This record gives sequence, C-alpha cells and structure tokens, in this order.
Amino acid sequence: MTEVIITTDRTMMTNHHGKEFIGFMTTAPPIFMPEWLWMKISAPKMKVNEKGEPWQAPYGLRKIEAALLDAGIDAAVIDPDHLGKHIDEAKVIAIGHHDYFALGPPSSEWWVLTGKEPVNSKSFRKLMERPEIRRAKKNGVKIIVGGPAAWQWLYMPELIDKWGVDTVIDGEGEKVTVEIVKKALSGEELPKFIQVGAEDVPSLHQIPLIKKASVNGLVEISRGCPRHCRFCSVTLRPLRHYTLEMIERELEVNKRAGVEGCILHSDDVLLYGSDSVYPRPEPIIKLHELARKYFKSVGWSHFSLSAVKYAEENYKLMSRLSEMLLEDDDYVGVEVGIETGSPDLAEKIMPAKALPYSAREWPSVVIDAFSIMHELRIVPAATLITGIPEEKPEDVTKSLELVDELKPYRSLIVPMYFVPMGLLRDKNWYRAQPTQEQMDLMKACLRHDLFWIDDLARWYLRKANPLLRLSIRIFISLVKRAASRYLFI
Amino acid sequence: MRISVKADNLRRAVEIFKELREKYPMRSIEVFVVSDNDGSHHHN
Repeated sequence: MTEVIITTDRTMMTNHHGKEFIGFMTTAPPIFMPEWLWMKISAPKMKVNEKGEPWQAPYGLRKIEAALLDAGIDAAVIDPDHLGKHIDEAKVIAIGHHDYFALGPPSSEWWVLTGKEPVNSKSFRKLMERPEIRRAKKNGVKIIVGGPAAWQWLYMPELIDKWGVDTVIDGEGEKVTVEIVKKALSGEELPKFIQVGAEDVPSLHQIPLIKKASVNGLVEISRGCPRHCRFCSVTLRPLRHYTLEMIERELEVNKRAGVEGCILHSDDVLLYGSDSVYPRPEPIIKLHELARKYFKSVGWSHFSLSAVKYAEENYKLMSRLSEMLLEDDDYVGVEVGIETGSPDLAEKIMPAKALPYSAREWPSVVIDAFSIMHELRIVPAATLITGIPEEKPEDVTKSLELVDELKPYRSLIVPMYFVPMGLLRDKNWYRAQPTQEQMDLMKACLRHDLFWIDDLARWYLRKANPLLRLSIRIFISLVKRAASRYLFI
Repeated sequence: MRISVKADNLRRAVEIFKELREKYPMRSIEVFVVSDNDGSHHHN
C-alpha cells in the first residue's frame, strides 16, 4: 500500500533510451510519423518493479519522494501505467511536470509553428483523464501539482476544476509539499495555490537526498544562480552548493541501481563551489574526480558561456575537464544559453550574464566560448530567446548575425520563442504568429543545426540501438528534404 | 511570515495569486478558496 503516489505522464516518466537530448522531441507534435512511433522514439516505457515503481524517475519527483519518506510518510514514485495497483489505498496523488500544457518554450514554439499540439500536453491530458485518476477523485484522493511548470495552472483554471486539482505548489517544493501532504492526510483545509518564498525554501542541509535512481543518473550539485537574468525564475532562489559528501551519496544511489552514467546538474556547473561569478578550479576538479570514481560517462547539464571563457583563459580548466572526461574520438554535450546576440538587449534583460566581462561584450564572449568548446570537443546545445517584450527588430537582427558567426563551431542552436503571457489567456493563443525577423532567426538556427546534424548524430547515436538509430536518421533526412523544399535552406 | 489570503471562488483566487506574486516575488503566499461566498480578505 502506498499512501502518497508521486507520478507524471509518459513524456516525463522515461529515460529517452538513455539519451536525454531525445527528450526534446516530447516538446513537439509528431512530424513525418504517426504519434505512436514518435512516442516510442522519444518516450519509451521504463522497466518497473512489482509495485509499478520505475527503475529511474525524474530527479524532481525523486526529491519529493525523498522528502516525504524522510518525514515518515509512505510515498513512492509510480509509473503512470501502474497507478491501478495503488489507487484504492492512496490518499494523495502528487504530480510534477516540466511543461503541463506546452505553454513554455520550446513546446509553445512548435505549437505556433506547426499549429499542432505537442505530445507532452496531450500525454498529460491522457494521464489526468485515466479511469484510475477519476476513480481516485471519487474516493476523495487529494491531487497536488507542482514542478517547474506549476505556473501554467494559473492559465487553466477550468482544468483545475475539471480534474479536481486541490493544490498547486509553485517553487522549490520539498518543505512545503511535506506540509501540504500532512494536511491532506489529516483532512485539513488545503490552499488552492502556494508560492514558495524565501522562508520556505530548504536550506542546504534541508534538501533531501534521493533514495532511488534518477533519469540517466542526473544528480544536482548546486541550486540557484547569481546572475539574475530577468527572464529566469532560478535567480529568485538562494545559491547553495551541495557538499561532495551529499553528491557522493546520490551518485552511490544511481550506481547501486545499475545506471551507467551521471549528469552533473546545476544552473552553471562551472560555478560549483564559488560564491561569485568567478569559477574556482579546485572544487570543480574534485567534483569531477568524485564523479569519475563512480562513472566512466560523466556529463553536464548547463554551463554559462562567460564561465567557459574565464575558466579556460585563466586556468585552462576546460582543457583539464576535457582530458578527464573524453576519450580520443568522443564528444560531450552541455546546454548553454546564448539568449541574444544584441548587446543592447543583453544589458536590459541579463546584465550579469556576461560577468566578469561586460554585457556590451556579450557576442564576443559567446564566440570565444564556442571556439574553446569546439577545440575541446565539447558540444553546446544553445538556447536563443526571441519574443520577450523588451525585444526590438534590430535585436533579432543582431541575434541572426551572431548565429551566422557561430557556423564554424560544432553545436546546436535552439530558438526559444516566447509567447507573451497576456496571450495565454486566449484559448487560441497558439495562432499568434512570429514576426518576419523572428521567422528569419528560426530559419537561421535550423540552417546551423542541419549543417552540424550528421556529425552530431554519428556521435550521439553510436551506442543507441540500431532501430532507434535508423528511425532518427530517417527523420533527419526527411527534415533536411523538407527544409530545402519549403524553407529554401 | 507567509501571506495567507482567502478568495470566494477559483477565478478570484487566480487573480489574487497572480497579483500577489507580482508584488511579492520572494515571499511565501497561499490562497484558499472558501465556499461561503464571504468575499476575499487578508489575514497574515
């Protein structure tokens, strides 16, 4: 019996065949193939135990599970196909998601461009309309939702009603979720919405450590970011670095479960152990030595480009990391944020992103960092924002110029088209059309990506199963053909 | 201390929550929906 079920839909409860970048496919509608095949490629089911617990689960869900277990509450992450085993005994269902309704980029962007609903929101709707969830509501089970996309429920009040969502928790949820679950279990009145402010954010030693394996071995090393970009909610959180002992305990959990690699997660891995925007070599080297002790394959979630440039030019740190992690013909990927090629816009929306360099130098910081990574066989998957309210046509033109300058460097550039919040109130929001400049920028990114895609696919898919490799290769060739025919790329 | 507010229906709760988030991005906020239609009021 499990009193508290923690779950999510299939696009989240998957390890994407061990290739997390394939997870981006779940943010789009199916293209050139039926939906069932798109889902099979991007979000395969995972093996589960007899209780229906997946062998890996999204890290955020594992944190909530750990917090509840530490508080003495009987909780478990359950695969969405196995809810029926627990639903008649459960008292609470806790749900998390990155993008419940495909309102965040890049899902919103694919929706606008194709006019078709992405699979992540369709899959989530299917979860909420499963007979098990309906039966649970009839039994009086409380539904609590949270995670990075919690804000999206504010634009879907009719679904809060329809699906019987009892509480929406927005923010770092480990402490507050325990409080709300305890209230739900004792039959107390629940708030409909909670924002987790500074007083309820867990301190470093209140952050629970995962007890079961996370998707693709992801472990958090730091939380928060000192750069305070205006479009990012992470900056509202205090910066906390895990100790090496905390990280080691989570690495051990994944190793014991049989996960084959690890991903070090932070909003900027290169600032691990630093209380400013200056990378410190010693803690970073120790962190990587620790990770390598457990796993041959060590990856990163995010770097900031200014930290890449500073770390290499001052300490040759990027070269040292590359030597530690890479074999001769290997690459390693990491997500980075370009966001804009316009110094004017950079000064307005992300004045500290270039630090210790000036915001006016931002385009050259980006180029230098890309150049360093290219030489060291580190592959950036970069985001580029367009559509935020402060953006002017000339800012988009500057971004376009920067994308052209980045052509020599092995990378992927993903444009993130922001749908203005005001439009989300309209149920036809996805009919909003990007401007000509924004469309040109998206095409430039696609042109860049198609230039590098064969080289990257060869590396990324070399250990994938042959069927997956073949499917993705066919998909890439279809995209190339369509791009040349319809987009003149 | 957490800001705690009651609203008399869901839509009003959404509006109040959005307003408070805008005003106090760093504070903890909770909004309840009450069914007795007594309007909304604050109690910290």
